[in-house]
Amino acid sequence: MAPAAPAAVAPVVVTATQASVVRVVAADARAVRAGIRVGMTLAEARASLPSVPSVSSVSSVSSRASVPSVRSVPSLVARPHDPAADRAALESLAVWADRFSPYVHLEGDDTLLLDVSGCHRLFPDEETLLRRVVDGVGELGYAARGALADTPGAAWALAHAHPADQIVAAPGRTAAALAPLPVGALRVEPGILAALGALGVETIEALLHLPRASLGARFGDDLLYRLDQALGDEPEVLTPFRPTAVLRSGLRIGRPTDRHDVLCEAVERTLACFCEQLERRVAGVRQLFVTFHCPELRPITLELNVSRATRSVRHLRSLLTGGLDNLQLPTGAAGVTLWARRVEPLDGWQDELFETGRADGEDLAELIDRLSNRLGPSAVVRPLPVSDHQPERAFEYVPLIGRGTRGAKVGTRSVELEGRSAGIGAQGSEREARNAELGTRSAGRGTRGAGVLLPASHFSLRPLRLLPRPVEVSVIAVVPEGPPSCFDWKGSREVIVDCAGPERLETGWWRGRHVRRDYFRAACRSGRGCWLFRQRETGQWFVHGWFD
Amino acid sequence: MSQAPVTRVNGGVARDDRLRQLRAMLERYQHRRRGGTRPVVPTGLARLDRALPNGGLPGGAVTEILSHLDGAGGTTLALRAAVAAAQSGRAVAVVDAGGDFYPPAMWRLGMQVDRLLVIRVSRPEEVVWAVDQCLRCSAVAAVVAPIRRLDAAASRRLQLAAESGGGLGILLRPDTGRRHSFAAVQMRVEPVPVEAPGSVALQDRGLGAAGVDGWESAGLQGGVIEGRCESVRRGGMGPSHSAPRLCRVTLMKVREGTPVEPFVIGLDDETGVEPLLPVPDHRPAERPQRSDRRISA
Repeated sequence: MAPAAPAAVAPVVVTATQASVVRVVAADARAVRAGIRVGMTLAEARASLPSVPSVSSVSSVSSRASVPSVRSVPSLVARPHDPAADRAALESLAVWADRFSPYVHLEGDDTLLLDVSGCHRLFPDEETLLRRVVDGVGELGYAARGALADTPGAAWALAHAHPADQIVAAPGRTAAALAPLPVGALRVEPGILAALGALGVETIEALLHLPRASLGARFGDDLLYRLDQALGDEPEVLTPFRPTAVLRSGLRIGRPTDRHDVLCEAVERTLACFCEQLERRVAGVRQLFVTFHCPELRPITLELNVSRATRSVRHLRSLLTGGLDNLQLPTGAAGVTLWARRVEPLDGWQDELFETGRADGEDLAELIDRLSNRLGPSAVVRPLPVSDHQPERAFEYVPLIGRGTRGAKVGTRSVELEGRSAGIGAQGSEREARNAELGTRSAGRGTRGAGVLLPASHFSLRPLRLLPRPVEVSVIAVVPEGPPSCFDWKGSREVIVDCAGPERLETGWWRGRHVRRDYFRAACRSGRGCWLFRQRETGQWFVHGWFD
Repeated sequence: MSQAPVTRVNGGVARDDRLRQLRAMLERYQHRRRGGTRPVVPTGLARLDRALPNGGLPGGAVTEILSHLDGAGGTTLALRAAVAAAQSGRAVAVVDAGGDFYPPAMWRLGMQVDRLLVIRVSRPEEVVWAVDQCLRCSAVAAVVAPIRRLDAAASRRLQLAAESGGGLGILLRPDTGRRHSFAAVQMRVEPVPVEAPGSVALQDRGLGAAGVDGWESAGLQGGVIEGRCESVRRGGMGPSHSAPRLCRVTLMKVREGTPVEPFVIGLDDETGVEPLLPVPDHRPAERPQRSDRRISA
């Protein structure tokens, strides 16, 4: 997947550092003609070129080197390999290939698999279909090879190993088409290839002549699996690529700076451009990254999460400004990039003309965003009921933004409320979805809609303030296992005049440590209401909360 | 000089009129400054609502609840008011600065699960910032936050934030004596001590004596509740109905209202219904005496 080099004089190679040796991982046609092969070290590649002094500027072909240097010798242009850019290019091709088939699958680093079952009817014949795909990719500036076969495995093998650039295997003749190809076309590991090569098995035809039973025993199931996939005996599922459509917009700052106002201005301009792109796509973002590119340092990235998808410049700007205030750049930044991993459709969104007239739901969502982004996602939460007798575990906090944390946190305990209570009852993933819905419901437009109101009888009588951990107190009880009559709290004695209980709470053995407590609601002579329990194993007393 | 005797003759009436006029002017001025009338949020506690002007806590304003003891009843008052405010369909934010807020108890008060937002911060400046942000948001009906220290500037800022957002701001603050505040309402909440004169003697009286309907007839005698001790014995063991807690509320500052005498509110954690208490208006003479006792006790 090497982009065809622009009309440059010098041959271009892409290099990567492997075990402290710089090797060529891709070379353009001019370089190949000069004898450069993939796998050479850069020094070998340079040596294989005739040393003709040429006057070419590096910056004319490299987008990375920003300094236009007119060095005298660059007869070979070496560019560092950027796998992320490769991937992005492949993904953009996948989006483009969507016009041929709804099922476009990304295979490995360099291959797109298109499921064209049924699609060929839209074209005169299969050859035309394949030609349009391959030529289309070529028009986009990439060198491409294509093959069309009955199975994804066979198409992969033909595209990679067949001498022709475009090849269509006739229906039902897959095995015959594959037979002359080398075994390397089967997508098996290099170790297996080496073992096969040692046995003199070079082609798939030779492989098919070997007894099947011994193949599995000698080379593992993977070889058989790949072989069966190519021949169609083993199904291969293609997962359609969803265009995550990484959206980004960036700005280069002429001279690296850490001046706050300059950075703010740069971010604002980038944001305006970014939101314009979103508007064009009728989409919004829930997560946004701001990367500051500092020379000679790793880029610094700020993450911004919002509770519901948005493309409001005003809102995002107010959130970003907060992040910029706390930003510490060791050196100046030379560029700013705003990017998002995913965008969400945002239909029916009213772009703002004035700052007024927003609905409550939007207001609340923006509030949650502001709070979460300054205080952290785990600080802004919604409590949800959990069916558990142990008071500390009768609820859980669910962050209102950031799906990742929500997914990680939820899922060990189960909520089982009666179905009538607007149905917060489900388990596993369904429950997670429900949580997400709960999390967004009030943030969404349905703020005035049906709320989730559980009847008071659903909850046991509990104090409004529960100490984060119970505090041990010394208690005097008239009867050893009976209600307490007084206890010491912070240096003074609280005499209990009224006591209700015990409410005996126990937890199951499968939860680890047993919790076996007798709770008492105590009214003190001072007029305060206290919630105490006696640990039944040890007889110790603890204050657990206050009816404040 | 010739007018002086006239003024003196009508002194009482004229002064009253003048005061009323001034009060009305002040009220009009304050209304205008806050952009018209704000809705009043009844707390659901009849005794408290009666003491507050217009029958409830003022929306778009900050209410401070001062209390110096755990278990005094301040949190209950605050959260009940917040639940009442949430009836408007908007959200309620609770700032959990101490890590001791217990949501199930608030659901029990009638809070809707999906309208409750908890903000877990502990650093004082972050607490104030979070309260400020919530108050400014018109989608938040009430904010409840314990705030330990609040300087005058921050207090003013929060009040202005509440006025712009229209929500109810309830700050739970430690009671460290009276001081200036920009809050619209400032009230002190303290538990009413239960006098147990000779609890041994009560025990001797046994269950029989508790047959009296102890609670309804409970009298306020010098701020001390008898009859509550009766329910001790009546309650006995087992998860039975216990007597409501009592707290005394002193309205220290009420904007647009006249301060009233301290009064006692009953909080029944079990039923959530405000118990009937004898209206203390029948015994106006006892009030100074009561406060004396409290100080000596």
